[in-house]
Amino acid sequence: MVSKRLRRFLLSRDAAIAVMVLMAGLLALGNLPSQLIEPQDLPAFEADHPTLTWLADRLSPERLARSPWFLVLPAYLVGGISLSVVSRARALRRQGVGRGQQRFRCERVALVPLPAASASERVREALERGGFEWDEPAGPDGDPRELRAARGRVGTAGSLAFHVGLLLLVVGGMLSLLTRTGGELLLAEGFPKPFTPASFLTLSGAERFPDTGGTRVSVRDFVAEYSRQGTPVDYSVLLTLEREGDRREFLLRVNQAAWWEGLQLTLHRYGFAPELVARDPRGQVVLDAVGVLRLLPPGTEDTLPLADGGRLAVRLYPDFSTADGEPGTRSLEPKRPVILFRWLDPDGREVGAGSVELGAAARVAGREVAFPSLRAWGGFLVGRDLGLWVFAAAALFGTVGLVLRLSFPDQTIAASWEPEGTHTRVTLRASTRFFPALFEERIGALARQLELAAPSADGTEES
Amino acid sequence: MHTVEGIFLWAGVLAYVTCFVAALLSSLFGKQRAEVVARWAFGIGLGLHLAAGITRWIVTGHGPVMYRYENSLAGSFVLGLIFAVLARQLPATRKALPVVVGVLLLLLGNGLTAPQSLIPLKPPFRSGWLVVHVTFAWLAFGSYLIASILAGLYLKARRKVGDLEQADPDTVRALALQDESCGKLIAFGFATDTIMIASGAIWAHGLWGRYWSWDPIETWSLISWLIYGANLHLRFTLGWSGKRAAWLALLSVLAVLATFFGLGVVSNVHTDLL
Repeated sequence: MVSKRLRRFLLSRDAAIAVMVLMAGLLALGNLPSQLIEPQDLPAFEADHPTLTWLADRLSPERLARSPWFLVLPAYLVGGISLSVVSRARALRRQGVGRGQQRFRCERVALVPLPAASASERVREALERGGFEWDEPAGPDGDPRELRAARGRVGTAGSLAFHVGLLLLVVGGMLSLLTRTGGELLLAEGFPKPFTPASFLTLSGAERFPDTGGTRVSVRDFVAEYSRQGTPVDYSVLLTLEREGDRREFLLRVNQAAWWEGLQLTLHRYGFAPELVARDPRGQVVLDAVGVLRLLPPGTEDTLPLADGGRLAVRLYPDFSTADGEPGTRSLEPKRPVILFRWLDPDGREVGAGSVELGAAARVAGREVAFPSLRAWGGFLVGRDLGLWVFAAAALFGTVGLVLRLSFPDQTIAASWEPEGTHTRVTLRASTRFFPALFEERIGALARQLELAAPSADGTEES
Repeated sequence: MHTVEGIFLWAGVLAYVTCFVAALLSSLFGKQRAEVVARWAFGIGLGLHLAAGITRWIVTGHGPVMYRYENSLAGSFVLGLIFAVLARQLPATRKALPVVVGVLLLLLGNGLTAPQSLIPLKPPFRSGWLVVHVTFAWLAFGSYLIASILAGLYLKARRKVGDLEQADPDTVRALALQDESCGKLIAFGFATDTIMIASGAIWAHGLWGRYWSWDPIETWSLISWLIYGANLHLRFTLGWSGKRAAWLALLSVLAVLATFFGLGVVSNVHTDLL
């Protein structure tokens, strides 16, 4: 049972609004540094403004979302929303046709050119078209002289659904915080790896990563589709998970994930993985590996370690061309892959440089670099988040609820009529919870509609 | 930019400029004919704008959703469309035409400073959720922006009218309708904003493996959602209206501008795609 004071505190709209604004303000403050300072300028900024850096770090949205001090704010909102959901559910049960007036009221009179029975029928039809539910209480002589109508029950249900959605959002967020595990796995074609945390490039929540029981993961048949201009438009790859002879194969594309034992696998990054063999002047193999190279921008230099302590700096041009003596690539499609390399000794001095085409070998300063094959590599995001489905449910409840709330506002109309010669005087007493001026326009339009001449049997209007 | 697209677009810009000048003349000097010219020019401009967008769609094979130029092309069109629908339903809002067209031209102009290359849809954009996310983003942005324009005009009109109790009832009614139109737009914007965030999060999970990563644009979209949520509560549960509500609508749009245009130049997962 919630005490009255606590209930009043939790249901306080002033406080709720203040909390929402405070949350927005803190998030905005925490977000500013990441928008204004480039990552490469961060060390210099940190050195010049240590206090600001400390503050910015404390207020960063990722950190705020885990801070108990900040979490008090959404916790307060959850308390208020929970109580609000209960009271809305009760209101929905109590809500009846035409019972109670809403906040804003107006009245219009229409002189309908019809006898009372036809006039009341016209009123009923107009209200039905407007989505109102009506009932007709009998007068003292047994003849109905009044009609009460209301709408908004669906809107109240919508409001309830929206606030339930907000609660689910918080539940989903907490579930994600507590259960999420995920990271990136780099895989090159032809090089399987154990599907364990140790194989990941990065992994958060490693302690929550499920036991995959000796499963191995590999990729093959990396296929890229290119546009006429040579830019990639789609990537797909076959990913295999194998455990004790049981083999599952998945086709992954960008935006097309795979699911395996609760884990989602998505293709996130991709690039070329040339196979390179390098021999030193004695003919010894100092490199026999598949290099995981960055795809963009073409010609980005990557370095690979050599067994003798040196390094091989490589630039891959998928569709090699030269312009004014400068190397370049016509497109990202590997039509004519060429690697430009620089051989660096253990002291970092360049001892040779050259180029090698796919399937060929190049000799420079007594050293040899061969480029036997070109494969691809993929960066795969692997993760599990139990909060995702709750979040999806929250999104569904929230959006459907909001649309219903806004489409079916709380409104009532009471129509009474009295015969007046050949006409009927209809009085419309209306009330609405929101948008009084617009509602008044609508009631005015309804009154004018009721006053229209009745059509005759041949379709012409009667006066 | 394709030649045909360019012809439609620049003809549309010319129509919008004509509309802007005519609407200003009508608004400042009460020229009735200028008002008619303005409305026709706006309609023609919208039609040509739509034709430019459709041409680009046909040539590239995808809707205009990638990078700054395409987003400006589509977003400014949606802004104009929302206003056209609103002005038809609520004549009291028609006086906002010069301001809306001015903002539309600014948005288009901003887009035209970016490269307009005809690029096929990149792999991250190949998702059905893209259509949902981007469409509702434009609807939300357009609604909030027009609401702030109406709020600004409301404040200007209120300053002119002075004390409402002394004012003519028709003027009071027109002001009340304008104020409520602003409220309705904010409510519509909030609903579409919610759908934008939800669809974006679900799309992000399929693309990046997590539905929320506190990326600056994601964070700003949450901030503007909270601000407009507070806006709705203040209007509909605490009864804010008139000048207070108008100032609120005018200031709240700053959060939306930060969301869509950013505050700085640091790249992140969203801007790399935008």
